Amino acid sequence: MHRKVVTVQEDDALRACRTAVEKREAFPELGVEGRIGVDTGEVVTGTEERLATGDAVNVAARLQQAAEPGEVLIGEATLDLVRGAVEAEALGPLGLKGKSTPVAAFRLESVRETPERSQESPFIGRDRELSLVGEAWARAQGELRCELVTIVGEPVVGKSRLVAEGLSRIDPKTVGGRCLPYGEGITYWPVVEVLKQLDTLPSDPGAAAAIRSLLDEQAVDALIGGLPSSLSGRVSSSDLRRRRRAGGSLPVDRDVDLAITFHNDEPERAAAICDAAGDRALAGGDERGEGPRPADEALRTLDELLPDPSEPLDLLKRACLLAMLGRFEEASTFSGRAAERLRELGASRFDVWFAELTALAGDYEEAAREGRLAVDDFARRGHRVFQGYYAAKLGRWLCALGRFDEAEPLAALSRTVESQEAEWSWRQVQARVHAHRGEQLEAQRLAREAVAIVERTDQLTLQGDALCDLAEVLAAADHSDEAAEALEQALERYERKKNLAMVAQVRPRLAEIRAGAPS
Amino acid sequence: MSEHDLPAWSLPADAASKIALESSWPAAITRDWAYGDSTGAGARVCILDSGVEFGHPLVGEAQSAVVVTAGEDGEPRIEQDTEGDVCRHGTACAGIVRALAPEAEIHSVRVLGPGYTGSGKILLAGLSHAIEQGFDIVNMSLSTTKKDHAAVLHELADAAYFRRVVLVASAHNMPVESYPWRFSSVISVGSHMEEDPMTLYYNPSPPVEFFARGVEVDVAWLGGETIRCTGNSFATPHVAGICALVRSKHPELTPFELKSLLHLTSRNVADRR
Repeated sequence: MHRKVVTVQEDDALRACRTAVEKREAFPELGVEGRIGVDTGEVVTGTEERLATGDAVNVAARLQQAAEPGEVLIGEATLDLVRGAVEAEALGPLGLKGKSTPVAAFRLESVRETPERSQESPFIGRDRELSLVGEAWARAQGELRCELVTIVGEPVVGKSRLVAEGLSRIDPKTVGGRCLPYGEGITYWPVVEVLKQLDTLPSDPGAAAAIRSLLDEQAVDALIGGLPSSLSGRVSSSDLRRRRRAGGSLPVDRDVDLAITFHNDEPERAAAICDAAGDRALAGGDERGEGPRPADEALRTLDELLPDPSEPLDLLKRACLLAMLGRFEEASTFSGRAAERLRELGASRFDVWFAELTALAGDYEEAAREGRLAVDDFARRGHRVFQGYYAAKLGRWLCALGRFDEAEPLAALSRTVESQEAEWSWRQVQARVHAHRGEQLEAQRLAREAVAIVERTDQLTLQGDALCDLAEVLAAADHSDEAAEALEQALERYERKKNLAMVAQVRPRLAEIRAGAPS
Repeated sequence: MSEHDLPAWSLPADAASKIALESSWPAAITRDWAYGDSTGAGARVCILDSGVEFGHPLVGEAQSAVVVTAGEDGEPRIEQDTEGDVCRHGTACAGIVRALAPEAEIHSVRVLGPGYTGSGKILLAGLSHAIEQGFDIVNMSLSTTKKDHAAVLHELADAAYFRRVVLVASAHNMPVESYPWRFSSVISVGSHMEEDPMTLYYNPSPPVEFFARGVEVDVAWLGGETIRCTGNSFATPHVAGICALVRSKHPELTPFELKSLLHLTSRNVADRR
């Protein structure tokens, strides 16, 4: 037998031996007798490796013929590559057909799980390198911090031996991970190996969940869509807000699903999971600018944390913050890159983000078009909470365009969703619809309720939005002074947020209202 | 030509009579012929999920329940399940099957843990067990996005197909690749937005082959409660339940024939004829 060579790998010989042993062990079960020969050397392979020719192939064939039934014979060149990883017994040199001189042959007994490295020879010199390892260990212990020691060297120069000697002198708890030379899905292999040996998980539930996923503990998902609607109200609304801040990405969805699981029996654990998800999301910057951090500050954090974003959500976060700061050209570059990347990935379009970007730029026609796509997409995916919330956003943009008839059903849809965001946003849209119909008292009641609810959050942009809607309702009732006051408050929120795009939209409207212009 | 010249896997000259089917299909297949008056009696449905809360008013009693756990050596092992459902999901699926096929046997194989997730190895072991048990239908309202498991899952799906075990598998709720629903040997299910639990639509543009009720479904939840949920997880047991009705009435059908029957009785196919 000879080992197929696709591309040369460092352990081809070992894999050939392992294959041979496994085949030999399978023979009795299959009811066949088999002999196996293995040799190593250069061969020429034909198309799709159906053909291989070369001296190693011939020797392997002769070794196979020389083997007894149930035996694996390997050549010397193979043994040289697997020594330390196999048990093999030397046979006398064999006279093989076609070979002028006898060929050394070895009976392969077994392959060890973990190759052994001989440490019998004395270790000489390398005092400086050893002391560096020792010093790093001392610093790590003394200052309770991580130390990285990188060892670079030519093959067989003794890197592994240096590690073994270094570790033997400090006697730490040792865990190890290898980078595999080939295979699929092996990116985190060394991390997984290390984690398995540590047999513990971090206290941060989010990090623990990520690690469980690496360890194959969360490879399978139940295909429940979104939040169970009658439970969504049980997870506190701030948790839902955090979830959305994190971009609604799958891992965070999973965090929230986890939180729901624990919510009834272990509410504190549920809260901790949501906190961790929210904190992770916030560490990536205050994405669409709904929270309390000024947009420029959030952008600086993003620049520090992720100077060269390439993934869609990271690009879109950047685009939204830039748009808020009025830097639309830069925002457009980032959103264009995000769209391109999404196309490459074949992923859904994150229409919500594009809709919000265009609304910030004041293009409500386009925002409404994109918003409609987003709402329909959430409906298709069964994300009822998101569908309801963005239905109300879409409703606001339609109101800005005077399309109140289209806005009203969206307010009704949003009203049926159990989430805090929907609680204020459906009221905003319905208030505008009432005002348009001349039902001023009902309009003002709903608009003021919306402001009161959103004031209980820390979401400055959303507070500004609710105050703008109240201003429009008051202006429709010819209460210009109160309308102007509401708009001034909205401006104050937008300014505090550094949402300059909304400041630019609201200022001219404030001037109109002060001048007594109709809505 | 002698029988020795016949290619492997072929039909010998005198064997055609031996594979005569037990029942012939009428010229026009109707839902009434397919599962009219069926209660699911005799059909064995496996809920491969998070366990099932037996005794729940919407689920009733179970015929068996096992759990797949990782042993000390890390290898999966199968034990009697005394705990029931650990995250409500399996109970929700079982309740839907029970509603459609009230007299079907329900068997639980627990492979998911709390948090609606589970390990790939455990899933593979659980599915192998379900196939070995020869259940008529296995409801799989779950999937894995890990490619490492795809090849073995594919082999198991084919093995089930050849052993007349019908796997009914949820399509993912997000536009992502996952398994086993993408394999043609399973019946894959997405959601439609209608309320009729018996309405199926055939999708002429696979990989998803059928759509069933999966939006705003009232499902069994723990503690005897119900909640309203959305997801392909809940469309899938609707198809599993209908399969149980068909299998109960026509136990001889192979997975291929059963899938054909679902196609012929789907709303967009049957109503067009």
